Amino acid sequence: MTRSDRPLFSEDTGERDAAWVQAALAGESGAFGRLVEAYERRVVSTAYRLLGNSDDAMDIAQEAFLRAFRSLGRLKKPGRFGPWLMRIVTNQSLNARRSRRSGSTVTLDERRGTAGRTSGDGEPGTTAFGPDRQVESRELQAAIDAALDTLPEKQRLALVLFTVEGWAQKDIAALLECSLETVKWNVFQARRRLRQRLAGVMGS
Amino acid sequence: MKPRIDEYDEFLLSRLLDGELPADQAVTLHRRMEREPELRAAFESLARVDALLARRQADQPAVHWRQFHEKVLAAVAAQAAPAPKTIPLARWLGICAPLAAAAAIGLIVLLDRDRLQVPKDGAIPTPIRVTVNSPAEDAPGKLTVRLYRPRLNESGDTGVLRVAFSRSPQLAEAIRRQDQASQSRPTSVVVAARHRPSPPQLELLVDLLPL
Repeated sequence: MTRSDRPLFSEDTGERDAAWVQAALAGESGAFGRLVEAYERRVVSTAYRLLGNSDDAMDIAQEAFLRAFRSLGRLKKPGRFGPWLMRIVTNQSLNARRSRRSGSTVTLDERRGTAGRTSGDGEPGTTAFGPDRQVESRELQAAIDAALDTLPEKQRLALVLFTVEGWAQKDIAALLECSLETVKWNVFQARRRLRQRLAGVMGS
Repeated sequence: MKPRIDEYDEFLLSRLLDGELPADQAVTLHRRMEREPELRAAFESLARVDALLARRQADQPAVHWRQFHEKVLAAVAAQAAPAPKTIPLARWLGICAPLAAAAAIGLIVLLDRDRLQVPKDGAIPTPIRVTVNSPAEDAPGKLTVRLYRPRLNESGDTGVLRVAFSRSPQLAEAIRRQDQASQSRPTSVVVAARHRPSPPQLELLVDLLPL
């Protein structure tokens, strides 16, 4: 299996989600809560990748769940709840990002400063890397942030979802409503541009 | 030896990185990399960029998950029940599109489906009507889509959602004048695109509309 074939939404999760969606529509208490529990980490994580800020990501994620709840009856295929929810949160994140760009800007320090690895029980914990590695990579990570910000939106989205979030390229194609080949091309172009822009700091 | 690598070479390297290159092409590319240092350097830097990005998987948002979960459920509980199953807008547009394509520019097609529902905060979802104002599909020019806030009817429980498409500045101006004459204002100019939004896109726009 190639890296881009990694499935995100399986038939099993689709059947499970369909049952929970039907139960939520039937008014069963707790059914939507199970959907929230199943997707909350992925939803927050995706928003975080696109916004670079934990607080913003949580706000967007909560709003995405509320919109999904309000629109649950319009979901044609309940088994596709996962991709549908991810499309909502992705679009909301991109809208928030555009709004933020048109207004005040957020510095790289602010963006990186709120990041922190969570411990196993879900509590905020220490960052992922040791102090030495943090120092070593800080400049490079800042350069990557800056380079990512210069990419066209679709290229940035395709690369981040594929490489960082581990989405299958066919799921990204569904999200962006484009062909699989277009996603591959966007990932390639994003990599190419990043390579060119980071050549100085990577020493190549 | 090729003096420089080109864009297609880099595309092959990207596919090799993802393990998507057919075996024979992969072998050929590896042989080329043995002969061409620049190609090898390009592959190594692509791989390094990828590795740097992948390292970010460990950079997770700082979230107290239990509190977040409870906060979301509390917000959901404050809402009305989820909207019951409705006829999706996609089916609607499937009905509407042939009519719209045949219509003269500016023709207003009124469709009335009382099962398409948009929830109000804290209230049982109310039925709405949809109005589609569309030119012929093959008209040239940039497409602009306007979504109009649902209006309450006389009984106070039915809204009207208008979706207006325009492909030419002239038509956009005509729609604007029509809006001015009827004192209706779009909620927002939502999309400016070369192609008419697909039904799923329109569904999403409706979902995102601040009703």
